[in-house]
Amino acid sequence: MSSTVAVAPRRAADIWRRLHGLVCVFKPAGCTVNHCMRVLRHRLAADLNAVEEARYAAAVDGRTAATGDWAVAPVVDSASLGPPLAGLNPRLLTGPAFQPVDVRVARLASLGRHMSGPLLLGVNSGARLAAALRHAGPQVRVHQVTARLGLATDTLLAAGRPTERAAYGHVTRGRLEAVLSGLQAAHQRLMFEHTGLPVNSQAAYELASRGPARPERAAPPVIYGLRCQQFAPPFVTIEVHSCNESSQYLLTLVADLGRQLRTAAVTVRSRCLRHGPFHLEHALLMKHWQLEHVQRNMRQCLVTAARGLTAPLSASLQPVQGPGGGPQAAAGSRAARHRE
Amino acid sequence: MKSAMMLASVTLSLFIWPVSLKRIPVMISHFQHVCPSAPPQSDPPAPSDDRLPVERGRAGGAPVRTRGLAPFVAASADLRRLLALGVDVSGWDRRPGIPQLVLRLQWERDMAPRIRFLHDAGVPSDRLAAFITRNPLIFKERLDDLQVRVNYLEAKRFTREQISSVLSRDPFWLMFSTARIDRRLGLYAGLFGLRATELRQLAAKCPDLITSNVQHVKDSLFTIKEEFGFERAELKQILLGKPKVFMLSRWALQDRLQYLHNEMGLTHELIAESPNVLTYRSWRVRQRHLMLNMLRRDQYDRSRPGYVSLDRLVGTTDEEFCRDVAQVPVASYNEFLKTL
Repeated sequence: MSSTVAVAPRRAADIWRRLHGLVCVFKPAGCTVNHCMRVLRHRLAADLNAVEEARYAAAVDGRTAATGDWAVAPVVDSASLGPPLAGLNPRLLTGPAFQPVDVRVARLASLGRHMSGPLLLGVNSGARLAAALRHAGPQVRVHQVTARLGLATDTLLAAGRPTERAAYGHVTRGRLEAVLSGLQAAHQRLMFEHTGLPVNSQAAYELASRGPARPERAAPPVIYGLRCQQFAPPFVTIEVHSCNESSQYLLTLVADLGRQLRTAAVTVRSRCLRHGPFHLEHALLMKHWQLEHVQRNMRQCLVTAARGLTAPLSASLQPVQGPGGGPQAAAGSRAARHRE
Repeated sequence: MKSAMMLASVTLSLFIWPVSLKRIPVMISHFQHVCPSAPPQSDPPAPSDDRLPVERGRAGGAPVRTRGLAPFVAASADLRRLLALGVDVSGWDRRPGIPQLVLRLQWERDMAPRIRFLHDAGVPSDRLAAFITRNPLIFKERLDDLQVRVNYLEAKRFTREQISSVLSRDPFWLMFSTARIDRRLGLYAGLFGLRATELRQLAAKCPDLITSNVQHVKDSLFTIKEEFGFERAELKQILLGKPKVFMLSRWALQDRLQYLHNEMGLTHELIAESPNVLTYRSWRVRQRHLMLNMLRRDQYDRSRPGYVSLDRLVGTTDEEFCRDVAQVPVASYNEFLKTL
């Protein structure tokens, strides 16, 4: 950047023409997905305008200094528009070329306001891709939910107004794991019920032999795995592998868990760790929602989407079999990524 | 597998997107109206609307109704003079009445004397364009009135630098009558118990506080004084240190004070000493504080070793913060942010 050689400035229109694809952003807790989309729209429009402004400034410099081997482009060079406009900055007259409304942003899946984690957004024509991916079937998401035992609130979140307090001294790790595996087993049965096949038919057998069934459409939530990650009463952290789940569903799950443990429970924190093949490490922090980072992230996301969503489809659906299965599966997929 | 094939076709279609998929808002289309070779006379007649400015300067052409000032540039030398000055006229068409006003102005009669006046009163040349961009209504004010308003400041013993600061920071100050400004200054002196010198300092530092909505400032004052219980001297300290705090929305103010005072446990004196911290969004304070908390470096007490000042906590870039305060690599900080 600091080289003295005159470099032809990038054209915002060229960048804009290629600005299509999926972006994996990190949604912080405490803001809505709509807010994230609005921020992204504004940032991209502002950065594109900055590119154009830099180009105008360079063109003005270039005209006066007459150095550099690139030509002043006609869009910026208002002198070519006729004598009345010679030497004027056209932006002052027409306003920024890119407005936030010009940038189309669509979500692939949603995250609740209190949740954080990777959020997939389609930008411009990537919105069509997001719709196509959504249409192709739900992806497994992994959530890390921290719950607090012994408390119930009106919003099911720890920050809500308390409605009930309960003892939790009787809850042990073993008891929690028993309840979790009970829930998981119930959901595995549900999985086959959603397919509509008789459970003792040949078709159901073939389906089961191919691995865990995946719901076709955005249908009822299905949990593939539930695992206690940390047990430090009153706080417990569980990992939920599921698809089609909503933020409200996860809140209810924690509340139900509390009820089954003969106490009450609220959600303290809910973090998404993985959305299909997209992990936290792919996600862009809000401070990096800038044109260059977004462009790089789009290229990366295309590769990840092509790999993770076409060939090893079953790998991303590997359920957690029980305690200890999760980390191994996760380590396996990490190793697979490193091999690639 | 059927779904896998469908996904493959989805990802394949990524690479054959057509080049121009979206309207690209280039400025050229605007300039086609301006270019004398292509007069916009072939445009279909727009529905009659008296609120839109009517262009009558073009010889032989029917009146053209437009939503922007761009078509008038070729005909209006005055508009070109404003553009040459650096005035951004692109937002004016969204403000009711402004385009009509501007098109009726004459350079020698209306604009030049007032621009000269502003410059003589202390608005530096590089701020003139920003001034007019924000407040073109200044061209409607009588020169005598403007002179009286500047005289008032001189009579109140504002120094020349202070007057220059007042006028260039707040383009709307001169729109207020002397009586109104006098009432406002008296009100703020009473509300916060300011001496004349302090009042002049405040007006020079943040003139838009004086001309902003009084009820809003009173609401902010209520939040800080009654809801959070700051002392009168601390209020004054906050006001003179960072007057902008009183222009924040009440919700933001409550949110930030709640976090700083109730969650981080900072004393009122500490917050009043560095009111700058109140101008940062609470998530920024939260992220930095939690990072330091994890590292056990969250020590905001000046009398003990390892003191971190609030200005260094939030007023630094992430790089500076990680290097000087947290003493960790930026990458670790970014990873930490994804665990929130």
